[in-house]
Amino acid sequence: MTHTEEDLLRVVYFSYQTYDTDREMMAWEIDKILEKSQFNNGRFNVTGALIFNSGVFGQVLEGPIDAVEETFERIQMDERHDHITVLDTSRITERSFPRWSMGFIGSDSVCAELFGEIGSKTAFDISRLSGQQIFETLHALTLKNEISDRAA
Amino acid sequence: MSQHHSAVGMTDPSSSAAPSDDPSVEILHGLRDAGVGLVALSANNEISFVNNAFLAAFDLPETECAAVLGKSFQDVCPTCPLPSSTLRRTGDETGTADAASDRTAKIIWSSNSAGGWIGVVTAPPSQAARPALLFEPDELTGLGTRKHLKACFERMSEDADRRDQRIVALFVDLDHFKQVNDTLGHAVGDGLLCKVAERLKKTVRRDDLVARVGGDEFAILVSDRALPAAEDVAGRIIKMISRPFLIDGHQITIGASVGLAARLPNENDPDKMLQRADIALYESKRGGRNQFNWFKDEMFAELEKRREIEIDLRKAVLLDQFKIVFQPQMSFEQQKVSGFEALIRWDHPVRGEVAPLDFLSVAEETGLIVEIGTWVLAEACKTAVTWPEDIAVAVNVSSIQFEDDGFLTAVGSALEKSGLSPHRLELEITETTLLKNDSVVLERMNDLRALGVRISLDDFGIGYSSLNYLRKYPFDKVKIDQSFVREPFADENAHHIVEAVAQLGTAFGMNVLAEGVETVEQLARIRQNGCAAIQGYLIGRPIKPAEIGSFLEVPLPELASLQSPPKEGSTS
Repeated sequence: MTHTEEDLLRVVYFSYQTYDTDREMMAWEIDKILEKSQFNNGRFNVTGALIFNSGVFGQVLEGPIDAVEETFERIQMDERHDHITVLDTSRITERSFPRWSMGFIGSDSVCAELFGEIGSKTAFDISRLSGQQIFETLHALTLKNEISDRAA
Repeated sequence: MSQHHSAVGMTDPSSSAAPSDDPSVEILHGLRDAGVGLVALSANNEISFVNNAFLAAFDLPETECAAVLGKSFQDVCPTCPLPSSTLRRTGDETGTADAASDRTAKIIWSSNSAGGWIGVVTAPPSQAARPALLFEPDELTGLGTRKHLKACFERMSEDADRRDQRIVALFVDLDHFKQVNDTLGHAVGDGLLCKVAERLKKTVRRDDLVARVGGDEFAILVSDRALPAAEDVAGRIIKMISRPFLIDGHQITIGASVGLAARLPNENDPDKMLQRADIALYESKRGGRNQFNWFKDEMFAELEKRREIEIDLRKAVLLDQFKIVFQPQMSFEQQKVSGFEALIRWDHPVRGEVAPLDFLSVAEETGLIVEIGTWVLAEACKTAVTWPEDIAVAVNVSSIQFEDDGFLTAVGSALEKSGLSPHRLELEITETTLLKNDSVVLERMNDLRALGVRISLDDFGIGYSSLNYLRKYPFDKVKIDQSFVREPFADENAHHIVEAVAQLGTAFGMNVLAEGVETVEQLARIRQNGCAAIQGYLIGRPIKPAEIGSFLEVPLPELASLQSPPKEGSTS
């Protein structure tokens, strides 16, 4: 199962945070996750976006199939989240998140504004978004340059 | 004992999972997993580095390397004299110190420029007396094999006896692995096994041993003072394996069933223990998978009973011991018998009549159900062709039979050989079949319908009973389970459910039948609830094929009560 560099895979999943911490700790934890993701993903040529809100993580990973699968596997072994649901896997020819390793959509005020439409539809519950919706939302956000790349 | 397996993975799994480009990290990993015991002390005798082999030499395998960092060497190894107390510090001086343990591991100490010490364990007696175990990894996953597990078990037993520990064998079997192999191919299946092996290695504790003992079977030896430690490991394995996998761009979700068995006192051969764990595993599978069970003695007896049934079942097919009986179904609209459900009976010369409940599950587990089901299908069609043209025959199809590659051919052949026209054949499937791969099931249903055969959803109302099934799959008929019809289970709420399902099914163009109707009152109610047909003792018990002719000649006595159906305004 070897693949060439041109074989790109995109995975969209969401999962639930397993630990219960206060807001500050949460931000710190997320920073750590981001830092590690950016480090690992930069090395493996995997890019993507991370969204976090109300205890739910949503993530898009893009890159060479083997590298994405390896990264995904590493994420699976992480005890900090659970009930992982893959919403979509698709072969792509072009990355939608080419320039940065991992972004973070953080606290509620930014989200509330940007997610206004989805928020009203879904009671602000990422887990109820489809893979395509999470992907499109994250993509739109990066284009708007609204994401603070906090761990960079 | 299991150093081959415990290489990496002693710290944060996410950091050790990936190969590192940083040479110093590589070196650190190498030292940590080196076969020789190493320790480094700071000037004030705190441990600044220690590896697995060192801890093992001092019989401290339970301790995590990371957990003793920064601790006083004397606290961690109280039996070992401090180098600073026995050796003078003059430049590169080296010297040996004996650990005062009963097995006297020797350490050569060397002072370093920072004022600390580096200690190397030289030939600890336990290691010298116990040569490295032959390790021939399983080619695919790199895990140990059954052979290696056996060798390790002997060592673990010695250690466990000395340390007053218990050893538990975990037998792990992947749920739905065969489907992955069948639908996505062996390359993906192999990739999955490799990832499963990796997850297992990272999920168990450092001293646990993971081996691959069969196609999709793994065994793990856990040694601990308390048995619940093995339950923790089993629970974590089930959790980790149930998380999604990505293989070759495919998202795959499987599960793991686990059986646990503890080593008996003085048990020195792991085969028996593994066998017990395997029996417990079987219980986990039967219990619905994704769970673990401890072995219990009575499982042996149960297994023995089922084995005997299996042996007899194999003979029964050849010896023609099966019979089919037919239970009538009545349509309200036609006000007469509209069909019969074919039910299998097994008349064993010694056992007598064996209840279907007792042998069908064995037939499913062993796959014999395919052969038996094919026979029932052919026999039912052969019988039905002798009935009047407007009377159908319903045949139960197990999910295993439904998925079998030869099923479509079996149906076609049963129709062809009997000459029964396809629309008179109804195949009854249960939702167990629908729980499998959607698109495969849907395709098969469409293929069957293309033959002209009709399909019913059996036992609706128990289990998941997703209303989505009614929407998603092209059923011709829904059979409401008898528990909604018959007292004492059927209460007021059950009546509402019957009514709702009847309406919904009818709206989807399905014929809704209620099972288990035994009294005239039930019949009247079911009819009022909007069902189109009924089955049950009121209309007739299952009868032999030879009796069907005369049964059809006599009008159903209950029909008298149907001449003026109660309507009470619900005429929608």
